Amino acid sequence: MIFNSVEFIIFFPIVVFVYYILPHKARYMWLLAASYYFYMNWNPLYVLLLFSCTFVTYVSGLILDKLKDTKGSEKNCELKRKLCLVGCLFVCLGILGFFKYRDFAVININRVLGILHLGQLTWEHSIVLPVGISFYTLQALGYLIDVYRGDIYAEKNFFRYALFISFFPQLVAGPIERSKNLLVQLYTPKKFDYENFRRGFVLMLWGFFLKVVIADRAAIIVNTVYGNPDEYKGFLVVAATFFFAIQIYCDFYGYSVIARGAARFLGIELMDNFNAPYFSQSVKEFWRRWHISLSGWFRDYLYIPLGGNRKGALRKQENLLAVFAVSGLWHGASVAFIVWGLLNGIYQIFEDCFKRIKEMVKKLFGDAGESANCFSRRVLRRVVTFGLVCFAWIFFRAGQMSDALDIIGKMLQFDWIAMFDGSIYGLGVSREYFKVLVVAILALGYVDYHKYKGTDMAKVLLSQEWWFRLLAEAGLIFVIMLFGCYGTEYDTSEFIYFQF
Amino acid sequence: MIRVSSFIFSFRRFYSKYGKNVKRIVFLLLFAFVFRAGVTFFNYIYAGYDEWGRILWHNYYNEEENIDYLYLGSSHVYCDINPFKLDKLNGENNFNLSSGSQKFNGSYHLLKEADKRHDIKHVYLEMYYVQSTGSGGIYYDSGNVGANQNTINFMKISGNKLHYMLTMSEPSLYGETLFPFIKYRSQLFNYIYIKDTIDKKETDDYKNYIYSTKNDGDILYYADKGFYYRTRQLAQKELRWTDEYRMEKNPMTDDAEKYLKKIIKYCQNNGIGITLFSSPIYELQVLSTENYDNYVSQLRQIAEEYGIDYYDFNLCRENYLPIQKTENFMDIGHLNVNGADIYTDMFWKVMSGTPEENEKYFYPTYAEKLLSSKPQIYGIYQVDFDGTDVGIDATAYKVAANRPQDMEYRILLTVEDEDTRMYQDFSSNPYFSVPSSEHGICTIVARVKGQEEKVQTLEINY
Repeated sequence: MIFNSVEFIIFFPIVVFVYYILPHKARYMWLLAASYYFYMNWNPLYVLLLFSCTFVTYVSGLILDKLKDTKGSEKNCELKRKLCLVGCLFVCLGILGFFKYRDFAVININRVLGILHLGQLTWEHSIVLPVGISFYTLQALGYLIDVYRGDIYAEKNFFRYALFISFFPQLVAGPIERSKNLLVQLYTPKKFDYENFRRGFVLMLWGFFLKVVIADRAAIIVNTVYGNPDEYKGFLVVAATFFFAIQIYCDFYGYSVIARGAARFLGIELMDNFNAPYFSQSVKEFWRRWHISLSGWFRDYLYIPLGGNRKGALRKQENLLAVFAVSGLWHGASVAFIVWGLLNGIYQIFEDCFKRIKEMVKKLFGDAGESANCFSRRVLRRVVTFGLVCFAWIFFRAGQMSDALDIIGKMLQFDWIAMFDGSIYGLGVSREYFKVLVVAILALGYVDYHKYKGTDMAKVLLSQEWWFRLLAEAGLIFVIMLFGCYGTEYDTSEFIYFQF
Repeated sequence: MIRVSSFIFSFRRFYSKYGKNVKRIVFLLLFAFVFRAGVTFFNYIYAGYDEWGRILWHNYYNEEENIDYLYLGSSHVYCDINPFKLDKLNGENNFNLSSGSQKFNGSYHLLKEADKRHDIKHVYLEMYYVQSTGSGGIYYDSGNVGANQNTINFMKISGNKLHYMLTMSEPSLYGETLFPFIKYRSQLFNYIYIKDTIDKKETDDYKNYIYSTKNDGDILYYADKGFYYRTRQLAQKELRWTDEYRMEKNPMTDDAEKYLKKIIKYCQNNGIGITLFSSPIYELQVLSTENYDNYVSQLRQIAEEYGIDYYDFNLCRENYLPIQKTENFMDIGHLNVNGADIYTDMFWKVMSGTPEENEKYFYPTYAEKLLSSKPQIYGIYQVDFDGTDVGIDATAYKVAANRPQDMEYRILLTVEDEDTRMYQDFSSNPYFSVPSSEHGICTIVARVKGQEEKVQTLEINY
């Protein structure tokens, strides 16, 4: 079941209605049942994996807690705790690795074996990647590490913990919630609150707008070009890459906003996963604003344990590259994803070096008098950052290195005429719909710019006069109904991040 | 004065206590109103409604008399059965609640709809094979949604309608079912279309539920009681059928069988009589299925299982129903008003008789009908390409003959501005193929083997 499906539009109100008529003690059980039902819509069998991950981390959490309180040799206890944590990590990451990286591993091992003339491994089974496995595995492991560190106590109630792992709005594509935020909220009694409904409704509408009006329309252009790279070159490939940057943002941000809106209806506040990332003035800033829950996870559970920036400049750069390589691999089992991750890491290393050189120059020659934060400088920084991010997206979208290099090659065959002769309308989106897409992107830019400046536009809308809200909300519904990609003429497309 | 101030006081107290909630409820009601107004507006400018469905349902809801005999099914009901004539023949009120490509799931919900408002005595359910076999028999395919929507758009809101909406398609198409304008989004920026749609809806005929056209002697009129009055006659050049469906054994799909049985059970449980029938279609189409008896025998089996009657008028003897002439058809599948006149008489003769009495009107099987008629050809029908001589991009045809084993054909092909070429001289091979992009006239000269002097010639567009 995906958010942009009629099944969800029927499922969700039923869940909310029953949730509020049930006594508080039964509510989390109802949400758990709804979440498992939601997940089982993809593949009922894969719910066993979700359950296994939940069960293993739940039991491990209890053991870790118990060992902490056990009287005896502290060293012995610590060793046992470490073993327990490593064992659990091994099981959870093993499951993830088997389902996600099996083919990738076999191909690369065979490549090495081929070079060494040592025969080949055979693996002919085709296994579909369980939806959301990368997300709930990280969420569960985050919880476990928190328990290990003693930041939180292990959850005693299995069903509540199971709900924390499987809470349906964020189950399949995040945000990857921390136990300190979500698990705590599952304890608090939730009263029906009209304000939550208002806000949840606006958030969901905005999410649907991003997904079906922008992301899925941009996807038509992207799929046309990236699906047939031999037929396009120059400007059209650049345009397709630009639209992919928009598509992936609106797709993933749209999902996250719908998830937040849906959770809000249930009185639960999920973290904001994006904060106007395309207005960033550096790649480092971009990663503070893009997929915040994942960046935060990697920072807290990988970058800092590796030493972070506490062990010298060189080690810091190494850690950065390691984290981004892992992040790339987390996104997809392919060299292109690793390259995508590494590119983002390298950008940041260069930014860091550039910053140091600038500081040195400043020290040596003094400030030349120009303002480092003038409008033109900010615009330039944003354009450069966006360009670098877009370039990295090529590897992400292509999925394979050879395809990515092919696309880059095509991009370099620049033809200026294509910018003006209307060829862009031949990429599957008519002139009229293209205009709609551009207007929608401008609207997104407007909202994001205010978000970047710290203004919550949903809040602004909700504080308006009733007639304005009424027209704005009803208007947005009709915009989605009229301009959205759904129904007979379009394939209802899943969210991109479901594949991760 | 005291009363007024006490009222104001009570109101203030009420407002301070419940004012917020009242405001919220009013907001929600206004929201619903604005949303509804928006949907109505967009339906008005975009939805190019199916006129037949609109007028049919208008007539149905304005039917003051009780409907005694209800006729359900596809366009073969509304074109072929004249309810006005039936009124005179049986003295009851007859109504065709039929719609283009109506399938049994539609018939089921329409029957329930009619049963709510009328005391129905008997249901006559038409069994056109295209709606229950092959791809037409897969009811939840997006391709079949349009036909259902043409009906559903005009039904009054009810639980039955909602049930129909939710079961007629996969959930991804619910949006189009609930809000008709969504279906027309391809015309979103087509201002000519929008203008034409609005202009059409502003005409008096539209507002008064009248639809009639007159073109070169072809009169078309949407009459009351679900009758489609049309004078057009099938031309010889149109004797080409392009559906490539062939009957296997038990060809009815599971979807169709499930709903057919639901209809029968519904009628039987509610004391409504039910009879199944197939209207006559032009012989070319029946022959194109290549084994029509498979369908007939499956239907007979179902009818027997439930103890009801099934009559297939394609098996009717020529002397009782002399219908197989182009002047009785408007196209290959449907009778025109002349054909409907002839057929309705015979239809009621059969329906008012007992199975034993009716036995004499029908051949036991379609194969027997073919064998007992004199050899002749009816047109051409498209077949799967079998790798003949014009390359991959070709369209293959077969000559439709009732007794192919006794016949031979000369096939000539004429493309405009080109000389006629002979595909084959008299040969028993009934197949020929042409390049898919080629269009012209094919002349089929058929004769019975050994009777060289007597030939039948058809000139058909391809």
